[in-house]
Amino acid sequence: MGVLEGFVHRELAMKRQAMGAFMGQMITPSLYLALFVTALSGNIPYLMYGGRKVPYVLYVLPGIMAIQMLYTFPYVASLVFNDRRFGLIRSFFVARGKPHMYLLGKLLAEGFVLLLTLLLLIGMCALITGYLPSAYSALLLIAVGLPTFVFWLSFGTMLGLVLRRETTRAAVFTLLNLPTIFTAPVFYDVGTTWLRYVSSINPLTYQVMALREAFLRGSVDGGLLAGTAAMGALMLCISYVVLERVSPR
Amino acid sequence: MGERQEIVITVSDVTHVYGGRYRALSGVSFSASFENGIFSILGPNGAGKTTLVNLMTTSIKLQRGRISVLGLDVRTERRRIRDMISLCPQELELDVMLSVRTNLWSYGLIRGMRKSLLRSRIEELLEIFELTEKGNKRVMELSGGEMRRVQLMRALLDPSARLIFIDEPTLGLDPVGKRRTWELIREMADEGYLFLLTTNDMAEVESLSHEILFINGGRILLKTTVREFKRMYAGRKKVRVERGEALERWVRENPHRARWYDGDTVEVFNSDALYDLLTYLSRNRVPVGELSVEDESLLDGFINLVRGGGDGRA
Repeated sequence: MGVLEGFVHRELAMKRQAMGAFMGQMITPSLYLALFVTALSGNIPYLMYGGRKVPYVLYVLPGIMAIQMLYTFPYVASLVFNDRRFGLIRSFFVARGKPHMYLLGKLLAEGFVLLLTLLLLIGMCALITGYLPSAYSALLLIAVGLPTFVFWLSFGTMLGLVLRRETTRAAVFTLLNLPTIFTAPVFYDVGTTWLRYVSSINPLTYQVMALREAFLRGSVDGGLLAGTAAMGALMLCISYVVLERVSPR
Repeated sequence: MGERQEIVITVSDVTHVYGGRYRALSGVSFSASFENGIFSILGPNGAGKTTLVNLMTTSIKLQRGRISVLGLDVRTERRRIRDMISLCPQELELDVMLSVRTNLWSYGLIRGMRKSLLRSRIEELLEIFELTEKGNKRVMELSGGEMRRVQLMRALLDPSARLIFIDEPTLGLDPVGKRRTWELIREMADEGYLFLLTTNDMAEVESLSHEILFINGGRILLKTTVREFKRMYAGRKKVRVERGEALERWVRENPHRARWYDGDTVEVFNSDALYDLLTYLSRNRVPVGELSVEDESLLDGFINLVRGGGDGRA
């Protein structure tokens, strides 16, 4: 327990020290919702979803939740990249730290921030639309959101461990961030044929779909639920294996 | 603390190759008994010191040979070894964004220390290293020497770590900081801690160590005690004299008493040899344009050893 506490303490202390980045992490999605989405709602008040008219704000909220989870990857990748580059991973593991504790520490600290952000988003959405998801929907959101978050955090960990140069890291972030968001049904249903093809190989597509079903329908297709869980578990295993490989043996 | 005689580290026929090409260590074997609590490994940059420490601290995987640390095999008992050792690497391995106290606190927890012990230990070390006032400052706001002290503090944090590996203990410290760090290491060694230092600072070794291991090009050159090393080199003199046929003949005829140090300097191994050389030069009326005699320091001995690749008399 003490070892894990050490990792979590470190992660939270880093958040406190980088308060600007921490606030940015919290506020950016709220600004998306408050400004971008609300402004767009003037032009697109409703969208058809599952055969019914849904306010645009409600349609987009699960998408913003998903990109919030996606944004953990560049943040975590930067931290892990520096931990590896400056020998901290080595020094933690030559002490009594273990790879799974290191990963768990990140999951708990980042998960805490994500939870606060999501609650803030749902609260804002309730203020704007008066809609609050049911308790069952909230449970489903957790069931889908957790593996989605684990997927992106593990992906970030894996990238931070395998990328060797800062310039490569910056290039990878730029190349992945926006295309991933805009080829998934975050703000709209992907319509163009070739974009649909790209969308089908984008993990965020399935994560947004699952989150949207949980949030708006209160039910999630079994295949989507299993697929999201499998993607999260698989990426977690990959990042663990890579972490094991770079740790002192 | 009484004298320690048991073998603490045994290294047998260790070879380590990076990337299948660069041979960092070749068939290295030695044992260290830490008689006064401090054992030093000396060698120039790139000699293989850090690789050797990385292998002993289980930081990298042993490829060939055997290493036993505190009676435990590094291949099969690395977890237990890690519980009993601590490492202060040459590079800065700290969270520079975090404060000194937070660095020590999270590291102590990761090492599995009890909170009450950790709290008191941090304050104790901050006081010893004269950093109490700066305990809440971020590491990045400290000077290079202060950062180095924080790194040392981290290595000394857990009292259950019996053997502490310090790579270049006083690298980047000013003379006062250096002296203070040496005192601390000596005091802690007297309390029963064991230190393995890797350095290329001869004064450091002379001040701290009992036993020393010289390494260069991935091979062991010599393992001896500081006292013995001094004895081997203490009487040596360097004579700067104009080079000539007679002088060259004398050096050739006395290979065990003298050698050419460089172009115009003859190194004689003791006072008798110096007396004989000067007598010879006088008898043969060899013109001596300029003559100077200087005692050889341990540093010279170290350089000779590295250049010669043997016992220093090559």
